[in-house]
Amino acid sequence: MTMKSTLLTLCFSFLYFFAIGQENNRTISFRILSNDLPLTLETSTYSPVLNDSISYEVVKFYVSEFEFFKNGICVDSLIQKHFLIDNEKPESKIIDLTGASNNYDELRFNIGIDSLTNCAGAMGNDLDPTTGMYWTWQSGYINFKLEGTTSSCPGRSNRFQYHLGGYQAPFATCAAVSLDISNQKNIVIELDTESFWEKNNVSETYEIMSPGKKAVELSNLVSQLFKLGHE
Amino acid sequence: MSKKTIILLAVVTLGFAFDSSGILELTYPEYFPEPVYDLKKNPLTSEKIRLGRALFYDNILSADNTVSCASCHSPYNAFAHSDHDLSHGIGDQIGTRNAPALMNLAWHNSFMWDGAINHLDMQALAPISHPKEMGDSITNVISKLQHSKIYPKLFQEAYQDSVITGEYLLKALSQFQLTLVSSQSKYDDVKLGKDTFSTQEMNGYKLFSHHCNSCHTEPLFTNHSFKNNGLEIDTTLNDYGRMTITSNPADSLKFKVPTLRNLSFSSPYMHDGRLRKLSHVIKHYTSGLHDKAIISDELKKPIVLTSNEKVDLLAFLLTLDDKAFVFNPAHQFPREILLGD
Repeated sequence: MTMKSTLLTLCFSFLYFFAIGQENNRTISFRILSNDLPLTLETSTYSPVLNDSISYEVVKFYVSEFEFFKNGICVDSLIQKHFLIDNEKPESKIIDLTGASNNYDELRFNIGIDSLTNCAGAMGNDLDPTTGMYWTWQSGYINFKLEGTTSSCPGRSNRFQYHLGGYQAPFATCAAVSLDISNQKNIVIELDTESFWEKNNVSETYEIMSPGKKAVELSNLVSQLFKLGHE
Repeated sequence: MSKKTIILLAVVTLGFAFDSSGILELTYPEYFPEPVYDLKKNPLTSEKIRLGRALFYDNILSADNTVSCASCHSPYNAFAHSDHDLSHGIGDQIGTRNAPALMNLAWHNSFMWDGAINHLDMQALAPISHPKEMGDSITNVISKLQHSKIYPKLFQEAYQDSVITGEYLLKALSQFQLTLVSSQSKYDDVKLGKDTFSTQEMNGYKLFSHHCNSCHTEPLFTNHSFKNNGLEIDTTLNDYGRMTITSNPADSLKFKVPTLRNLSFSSPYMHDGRLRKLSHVIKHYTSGLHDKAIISDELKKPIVLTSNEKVDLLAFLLTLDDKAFVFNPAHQFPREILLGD
């Protein structure tokens, strides 16, 4: 074999393995929707439930403690425990599953941050308090943030602000999600904000900014809105 | 002075000791309990303490660069604010609570008069963001620090990273505050057998042990709990204390038990600074308790003291003053960093 062909073979095998590698690069991706369409921030869109136009400014939430189950037994979990999903940052919506088990039938995770982490002091990356997901007047992460405007909202400037959080009993808000997964390479998890309005009346509850009973109710509601999507 | 004496002196005055790895150890008397703060998650180094000290004294932490942590937490007042009943923020705004003295913070499991903050690292976020205190945001403060002349270098030295993060900023502030250990009062000397109480102080100590120690527990002189100590609500503030955080009516008018160390330096007293003198405090507990129905159990039985006993109790309380702490040069404004001296 000439030097040239050796190099070519090397190149091709590199490309081949690279392609295989890509194929193995399984992911969980979060798809944030508004009435079945990708949600675009600061853009007026129609909500059939509200029968009104609505504009979102912030859709941001923590997901944590991903665990893979087979027949009810935990077979694997992700090393990184906490992820901040921000609709404004497309890269934040994809979680790499390289190296994770692919033999499972159920995925469990939490919406929010557990109480232990809430009491563990300053942390970096997705948990850095500069992410805007940490309260300042009292300790604790904001697990789920949804903000925007719609004329159906009686708040000041028609603004709705849901900052759901709180880790102390009886107002702990970190909520578990369980999804049955069939044999899929990539997992797509959808959150359609329209389903939120089906369960929450914006003319009554439009401003939650502290831990409490209402935050617990809405957090449980929100955790039920995460559905398995199609690849 | 021998080398050993110098090291010993350094240990005693700085509140931390060096080991060969560059990691410093928090030092405290053996009769202190184990600290609550997990130092393994934020190991002390001289570079980080230095950075934290600079941040603590720097007005850059406030929106208009006029107020620093030390504005309300002055070293000469045991890190409280002399003569100010309520805290003082940017634009001459007045808050709703008295700035508490800062010491022995490694032993605290909650912060603020209502325990709103659960960890020393997270405490600084509150004053930085409060519109009546520093009125800024951590994101903006970091951007100011990143563009300042001195901080990128100080952060680089402390964290080997030129990118400033919220985690670094908060942990550095914790480091400096963790070194604020007060353990060199006359009381401590007596504990160590290096001094003895006068008859009056000894009598005061007995009265203290009987009437005060259940909440202001030795040797930190607080048990870090929340209690209703019989102060009538100030209707100009309507501060219900702990209940604001827990939403539990049983926590109404409960405030965190403060330490009794360094009282001479940290007047005025109580969560709203309503009592200016220690004699007023003693008068409050002996004859001024309000609404006995909801007062803490420890105060349900009246505290009866003769005027001589009051003087004795005061004499004991003064043995908790720690001049070495209050005048410790390592705790004071770092001229060499902030003024480039």
